[in-house]
Amino acid sequence: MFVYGFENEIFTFKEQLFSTESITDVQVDFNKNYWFTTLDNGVFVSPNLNIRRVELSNIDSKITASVALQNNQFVLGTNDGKLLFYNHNQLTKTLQLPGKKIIGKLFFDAQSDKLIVSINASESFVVNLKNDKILDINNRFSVAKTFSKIDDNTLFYGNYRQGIVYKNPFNNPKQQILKESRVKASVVSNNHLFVSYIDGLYKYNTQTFNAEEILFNSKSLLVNTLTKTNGTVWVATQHNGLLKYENNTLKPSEIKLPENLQINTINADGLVLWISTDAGLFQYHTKSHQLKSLSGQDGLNTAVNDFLILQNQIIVSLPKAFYVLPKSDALFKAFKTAKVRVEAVKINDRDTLVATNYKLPYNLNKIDLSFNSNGFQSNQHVSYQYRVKQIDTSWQNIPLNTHFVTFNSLSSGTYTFELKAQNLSAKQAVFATPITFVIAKPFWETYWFYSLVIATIIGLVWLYFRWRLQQKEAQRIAEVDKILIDKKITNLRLENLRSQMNPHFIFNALNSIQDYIISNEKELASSYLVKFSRLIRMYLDYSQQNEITLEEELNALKLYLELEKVRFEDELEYEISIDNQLKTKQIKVPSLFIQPYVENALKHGLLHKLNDRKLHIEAKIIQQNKLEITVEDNGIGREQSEKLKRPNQQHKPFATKANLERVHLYKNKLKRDITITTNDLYDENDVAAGTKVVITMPIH
Amino acid sequence: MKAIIIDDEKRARHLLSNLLTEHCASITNIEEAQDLTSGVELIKSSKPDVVFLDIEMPNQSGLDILEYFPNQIDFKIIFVTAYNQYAIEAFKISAVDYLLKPVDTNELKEAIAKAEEAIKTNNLNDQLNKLRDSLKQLSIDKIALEIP
Repeated sequence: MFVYGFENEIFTFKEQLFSTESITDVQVDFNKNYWFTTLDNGVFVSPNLNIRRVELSNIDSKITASVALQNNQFVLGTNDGKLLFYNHNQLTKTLQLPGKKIIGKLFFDAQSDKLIVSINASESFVVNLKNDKILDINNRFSVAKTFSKIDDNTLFYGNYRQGIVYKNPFNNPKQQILKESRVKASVVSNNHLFVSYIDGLYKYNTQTFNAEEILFNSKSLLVNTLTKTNGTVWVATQHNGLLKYENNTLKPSEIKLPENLQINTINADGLVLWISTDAGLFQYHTKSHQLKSLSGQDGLNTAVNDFLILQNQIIVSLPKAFYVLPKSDALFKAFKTAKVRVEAVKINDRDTLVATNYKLPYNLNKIDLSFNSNGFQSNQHVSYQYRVKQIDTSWQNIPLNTHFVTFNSLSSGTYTFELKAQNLSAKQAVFATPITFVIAKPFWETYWFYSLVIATIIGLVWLYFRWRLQQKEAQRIAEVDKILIDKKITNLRLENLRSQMNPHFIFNALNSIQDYIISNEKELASSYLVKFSRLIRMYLDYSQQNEITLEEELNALKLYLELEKVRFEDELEYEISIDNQLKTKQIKVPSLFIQPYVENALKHGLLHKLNDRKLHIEAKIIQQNKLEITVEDNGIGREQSEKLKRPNQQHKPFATKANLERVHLYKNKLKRDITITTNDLYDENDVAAGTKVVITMPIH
Repeated sequence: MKAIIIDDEKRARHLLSNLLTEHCASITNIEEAQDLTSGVELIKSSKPDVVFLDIEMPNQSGLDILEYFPNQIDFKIIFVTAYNQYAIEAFKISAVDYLLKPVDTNELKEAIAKAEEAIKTNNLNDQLNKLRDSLKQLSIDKIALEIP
């Protein structure tokens, strides 16, 4: 790989790279990363061709200290007492200290052209760079933490337990101990020496060395490193960030470093501050306030601790290598961010085609979005932010190296997912095409469902009230009906009573009694009267009730027939036969229901017959729960009886008529099906031989 | 006076005849019939002055008696019945009285008295009619006499 310059149509050789590899192709990507493919050793990437890394491959030593000399020269101190001198990145000479000492700190005094070498033990040396002579000065500068030149003859030296000022540091040094405390850093600015001890930052007048502690918010400071620009001392503290001391006041600097970033070293180069951190190297211009950074994606993929500022270069030293950074503008690349795309959309954990518009039912509301922005090491250097319109007002950060966003159970609505990606070093973010999700409302939240529910409720309420009204109406009607029925029953009862109280029967009976009295037949009169009154009493009693037992009914009938028999001058044979199975005391029948038919049989059938009057009454069970009562006579028959009726005679068969109405009532209102059939009987010569009335009624 | 009692109930006949014998001295002779047919026979044969007639009887009602005497009834009818539903009809056939069972003896006496009165009036009317008839006859005779 050869690099040539091309000017004035002439190629000029500049350098050779990858001298040991067989390079097959070179590509430069959008972020000016150089991609080199090799024949047999994979792919190399160089993010910045200006940054070079120099390996200390040929020695076993580790770099433990470094210092800049004049121009572009610098010295590296190792852990085995070697001093490596470089000029323009080329090792020019190596000096070996007596013994394999760990070099802890180097200080170059340009005025005397001498190099102070501080060993991490009670030893130190001075190297005269004019003749490379090494002078052992015992522990004068041993275990040094910092050096600061105060003036031509005065040097501040801070070690692990003292801050010391030397007058004539190289010849006949005169020692003045400023403070017994571990020193961390020091700087001289505006005739004042600033020294940071582990228990505070002190400011000394360089003439009198009067001490003054600099407090921040009335507290002592722990300062890691100090540097100065024109009139300003920059103070990198352990806990309070980067502060600056100007015009005798300490205040926070306006440099906006990434948060929680510890400053390792800070060095000034004229108006420019170089700040090393674990996340790379920063350059800050104190006038323009511009902050630039170099990090992993510039190829500086390590934490930066010590570095040197040379005339044209920055040297970043590592234990086994150092980086060479040119101070030119080409050092800082303008980073861009590759196009960001949503690459996968998962809905309820199922992959779907990526689209810009989704219409989803309410239950497909878990959405995963995966996205990516290409580029070299974009995982670590591209940050993503998203915003979902209607939920977020501000952009939400996504942690670095995360390439997905998950929304669990989005409620119904319209969401627009916006995504932007930005390279950490880029100024501009790029935006992905927004994706819109419309999640439908579940059916129970839709208007038509609400109206349906309301309509149903109203309907139900209406139906309920209508039902209630109907029920009330029905109840009212039923009550009216009941009253009417009661009235009717009462009327019928009265009518029934009247029908039982057949005047002919009563008056004829009374007439008979009168006859007994007149005939002086006391006993007969009395017994007849008793029977008669008993019957009347029964009638009065039973007509008060709607139903009486069959036994009561039959007893009344017996008594009635007994009295009638007297009237018929004993020319009446009657028989009442009762089925044994009948529980006459339990069966209820409509009160005085049979009697009118018996009376009919007597009045219309048997009365017109002169002799052989026979009446048969039978009560029995037919079928299940059905009572049949038969009233049979051998009278003249209905036909004959009809003929005997006087044409102008108002026939009032009100007894049986009332009974028929009762039957009707029982049937319709009380659901008791009573049937009455009247049959004409004929003898073998087809001559009328009586009437048979059959009453059937269900037994409760 | 002669009386006939027509009633299907033996006990009723018995009672009425007892009451008549006890309380009505003017009734000298009492005969009984148990239905209308035999009663009419008896009336025709014995020509009574008063007939005690029940209305409700087997086969034929007492009110049917007119059918048997289409012309003049020359006896007085007193209805004796248990119930007064036929009263109007009874008076249409110019009954002397209408007695309700059981029979009040005073009412019975009054009814007999009414009958006697009616018979007397009837007799007087008869006599007057006879006189009128004879007078007519007389005037006819007179005219016949004058001509010759």
